[in-house]
Amino acid sequence: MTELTKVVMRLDGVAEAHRLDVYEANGGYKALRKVLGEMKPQEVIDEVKASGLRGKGGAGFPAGLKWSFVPQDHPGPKYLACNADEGEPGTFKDRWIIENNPHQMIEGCIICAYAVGLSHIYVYCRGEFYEGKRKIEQAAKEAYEKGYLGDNILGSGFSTHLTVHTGAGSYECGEETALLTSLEGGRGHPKIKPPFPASEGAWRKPTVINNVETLATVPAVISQGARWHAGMGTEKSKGIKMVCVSGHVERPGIYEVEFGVPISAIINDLAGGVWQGRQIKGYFPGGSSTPVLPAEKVDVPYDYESIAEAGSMLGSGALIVFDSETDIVRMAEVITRFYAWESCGKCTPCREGTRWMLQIYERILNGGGRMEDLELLLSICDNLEFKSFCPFGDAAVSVVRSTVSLYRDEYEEYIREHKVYRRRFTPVKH
Amino acid sequence: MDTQEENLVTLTIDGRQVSVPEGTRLTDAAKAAGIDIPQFCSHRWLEPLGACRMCLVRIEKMPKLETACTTVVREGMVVTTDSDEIRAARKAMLEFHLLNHPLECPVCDKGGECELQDLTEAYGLTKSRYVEDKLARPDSMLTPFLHMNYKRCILCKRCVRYCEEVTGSHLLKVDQRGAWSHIATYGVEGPPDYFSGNVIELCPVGAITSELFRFRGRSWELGKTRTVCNQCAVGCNVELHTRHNELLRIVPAVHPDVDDGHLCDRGRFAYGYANNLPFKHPMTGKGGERREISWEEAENTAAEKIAEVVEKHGANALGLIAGSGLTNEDYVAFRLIAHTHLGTENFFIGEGLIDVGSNPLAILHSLFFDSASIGEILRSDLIVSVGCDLIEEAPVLALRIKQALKGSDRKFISLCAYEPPGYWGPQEHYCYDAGNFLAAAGEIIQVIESGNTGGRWGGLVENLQKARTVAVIYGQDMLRHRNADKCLLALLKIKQAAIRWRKANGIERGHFSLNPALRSANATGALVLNNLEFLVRGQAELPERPHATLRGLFEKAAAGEVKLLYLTGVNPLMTFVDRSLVERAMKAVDYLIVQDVLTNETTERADLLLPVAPWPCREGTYVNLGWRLQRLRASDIVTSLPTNLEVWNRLLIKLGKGSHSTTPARIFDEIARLIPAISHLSFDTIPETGSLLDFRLDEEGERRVAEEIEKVKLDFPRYEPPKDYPLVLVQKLYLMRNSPRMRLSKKMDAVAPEPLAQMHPDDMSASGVAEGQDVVVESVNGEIRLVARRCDWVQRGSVVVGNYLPEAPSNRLVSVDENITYIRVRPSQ
Repeated sequence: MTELTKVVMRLDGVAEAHRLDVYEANGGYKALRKVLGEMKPQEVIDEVKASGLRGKGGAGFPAGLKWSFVPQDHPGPKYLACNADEGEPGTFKDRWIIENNPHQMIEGCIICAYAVGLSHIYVYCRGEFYEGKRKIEQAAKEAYEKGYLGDNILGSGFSTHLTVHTGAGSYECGEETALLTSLEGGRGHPKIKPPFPASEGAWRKPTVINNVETLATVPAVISQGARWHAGMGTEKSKGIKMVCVSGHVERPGIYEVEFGVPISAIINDLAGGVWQGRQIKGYFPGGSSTPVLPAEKVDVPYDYESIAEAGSMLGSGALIVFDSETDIVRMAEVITRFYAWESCGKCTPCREGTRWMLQIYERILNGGGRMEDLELLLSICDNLEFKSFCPFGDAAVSVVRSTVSLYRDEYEEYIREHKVYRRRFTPVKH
Repeated sequence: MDTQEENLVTLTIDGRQVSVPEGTRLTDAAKAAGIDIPQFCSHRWLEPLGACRMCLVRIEKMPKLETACTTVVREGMVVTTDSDEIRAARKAMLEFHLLNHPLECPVCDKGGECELQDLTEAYGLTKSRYVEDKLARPDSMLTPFLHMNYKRCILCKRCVRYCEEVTGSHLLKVDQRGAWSHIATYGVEGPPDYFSGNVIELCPVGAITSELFRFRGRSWELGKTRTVCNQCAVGCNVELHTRHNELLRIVPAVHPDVDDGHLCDRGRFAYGYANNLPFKHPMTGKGGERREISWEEAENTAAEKIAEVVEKHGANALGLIAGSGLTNEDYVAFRLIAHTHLGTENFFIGEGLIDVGSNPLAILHSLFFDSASIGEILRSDLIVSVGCDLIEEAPVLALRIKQALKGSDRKFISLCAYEPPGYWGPQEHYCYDAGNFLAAAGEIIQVIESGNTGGRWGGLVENLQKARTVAVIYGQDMLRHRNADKCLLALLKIKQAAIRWRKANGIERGHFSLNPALRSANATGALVLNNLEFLVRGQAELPERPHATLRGLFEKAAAGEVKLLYLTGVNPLMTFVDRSLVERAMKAVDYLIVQDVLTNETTERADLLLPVAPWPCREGTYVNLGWRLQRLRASDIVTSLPTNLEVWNRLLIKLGKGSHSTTPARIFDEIARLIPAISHLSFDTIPETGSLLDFRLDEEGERRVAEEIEKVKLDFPRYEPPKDYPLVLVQKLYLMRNSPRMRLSKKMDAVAPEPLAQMHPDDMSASGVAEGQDVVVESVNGEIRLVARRCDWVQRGSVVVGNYLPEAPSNRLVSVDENITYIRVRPSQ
């Protein structure tokens, strides 16, 4: 039986865990006291490096390494942008953290700020997270009152401040440079890299951008040590991950597990298996932007490398399962609609390509598909992938390419029989 | 200067080695190697965006294709810009661009000069795979001049970025998201954008087109003539596009040292008058009795009247004035005719803002020898605009200064009677009390000499002391009153004090230049040629004795000494400082001959009106405010109207006083012999980019001028307002002033400034007037009616009024006998 490893979620089930007193009663802010009292900034970075902690927002970049990129001799100010713009369909872990355990994230932010020498923390919160935003603000207020934030934190001489900034509800703003543009008050469009945010980020100052889950893991890494963290998971994917299981399973939810457990174990042991006793047809291992994997690949170990080898990505940790009854074409259409709607419109291939693909899907679902549409879809994928300004374009094609290749017969059935999706479909507005 | 060694980076593009300065973008490096990389979103004026993805190239060791426009060159980079893979990628990007782009090239104004059309041809996209519905959105007007066709827009955002990065006007933005993104305005009234027209050329497709040019002609059918804009003294290079004897549009012709390809909206759009000339024949008679007459009759009448006056009252009873928009060749001929052929000393060329006569040596030296080219101004460490709102008086220069400040330590500051308003503005403002520039100059000199940099002028003085090279541009508020010459001398004294201070403190000294921003296109040329006698002393062909000043000429006319006024291209009722003096002069003379193109206040009063060919039909040369001599070329429009030279020549013949050349080339070549700065030129060898007039002095000369200025005794009086007229009139020039050219050009009324009395809030309450109220502004000399407007940038104690409001001419308030014009404001009725 697969076990949960509760680290970020250790207060799951504890009442009022978002409150400072509850958090402190459960060992909260001890890591911060330890860092401020006993460790030099560089030691903190080294500790995080040694722990093998990787970014949990999707790319899996080593967190300690990212921190060490910030130039130390820069006169400042330097910033931390905590990415709470969780928008990937199927992902709801950051929302859980900020709503249920915001102090752990804030503690992680302060430790990071101390380690890298950052004078201001911006929590960039997704526009629709009304409750989460209030919870962070409440928590920050408590932390300020208790002296965990502000000037001369706990008498250490270190000062940092925290501001919560909400976006206007754009998926693209989860991309780090678009997040910065939005934070600066601009339209949420990605920026040219280089310069990378670590050297020139928000307002052209060095900026660390980390995901909520990554930062919320940091206090545990500090209090329990790098060795403890590195001892979990696989050789390259160390530690734990919050997996958001959704779709056709009996018990959808967030399950925090060590890297390396088989995906089938997560689905069957933790999430109660495919619902209504049906068979699994396939799944997204890391959210809607990762290629679909077929049922045969359900035993893949849950870590970055194994999933990549299987032809997909671990992404943000959203495991979306779909059963044998699923209408694949309709599912791909729903996700393509999301990408067409969320494309920021900056670069041409993404802006035009996502809408084009959506229009083709609509036509197929309305019974007007042509066999050559399948080649056309794959060709649009080729033209869009790796050619768009930011990875959004690559994300948008993955569901199209993977489902056309894996479930081509379902597409062909739609086209051959002029099948019409059961609900006649309102075309996208023109 | 900017000659520091640049580090070169060597890279290989398509097998060609190329060395470019560090920091160069790959697209530019490729261009240097003679390789063209297609691009829609990139533009040399704009920061790279990387949005259109047309410039995808393969860079060795990179996993993906990269956009050349966003890539900075690195040593040893190996780049491929042409391969099957790249061609396929670009074709794919073009396909994406064309998805929502309508195939309406045959009716699109951009056809023939469209970047999308060219590339589509080049990559051979003949069949679309797109069978879905295209996005569509009805056209709209972004501004009165910019027609937006959303369907054609490929969202390269050049227009939006131009308004953000270059002009800073924030006129345009992108609305909505993804494929539904579209260009929009903010929908609120903002500060005027004088450069909006430039987005027409920036647009790589036909999305933004000129409302004035729309559907008027195809680009390949147009006659194209490169000439110089005649709307202000910057002298932007433009191309006249004509068809069927009509001027259809004006587009910028890039001159790196003048305009860099920018053009202001006045220069671009205010051309309609050329197709809408009010006078086709000479006219005689005033008011309702005015009638058209033949040229024969007109010439005879003029000759008769002139001969009669000369016979009765002597040659000096003739008063001749030439405005500051004529060509240098016109001026040379004008001088010779006035002086040699007619023998009058009552002639004047130009705007008459500076009375050189009071101290010719110092003033002329500063005008000619202290000047800088536009390029030099832009490279100066410190740029100071004195008594000048540069965006209104020399718009493209102001824009280029704004650009020159980007990413440099250069500073741009203003010393004026108000804080020039708007987004483009100077970084620091220093205000002198309205009308009291002289007093301020005295204080500034004192501060410089005391070395104590506190107080009101401390910051300004510190700037002057710190900067190695300084460029001063002075404008209307310093020039447009009777003390203009004293103000200029005071400015020279400030300069000398700053230089002395630097010498005393062992600071290396760079150029400290002074350039006047005069109002009209060839005001600089007029200034030179009006004072030619000082420049070419001892040349037998030229008169040595000084001629009249503009003020003196009007005073003589008003006093009845001058019996006949002959005005060419000048409207003194609006442009001379004192309107009542001009009115008195016009009333007193027996006969008024006006030679001009368009209807204005002065042509209304002419006894004899001689219409001449408009600017698009003129040949000759202009000198811009950066002392660049540039050639004016006539377009292929055939006009039945004569040029100034032709009118004068026929008049001379009728008078039996010989004849004069009507060929600008001949006149130019003659005058070139006399002026050392242009002696190497002939009319036909003036380069397309013009020629800088270099009057720069050597060190010895500079020392002599400094001594001369030292010798000048100058008071720095402070004037205080009388009790019953507590406010000071400040007259401000507006770019979009309602001048005859604007009035007779289509659509220009939409941007004309309102007749406002712009006041400080305190003065409004003290005068008992409210925002938006109709008010009477009065001085002892007269009154005008305006609308009160609350303005934070106006100083307490002053009222800023547009100086070219035909319905409320501010010069009605001014008397040339007073140092300052004191006024009061009261609600009307």
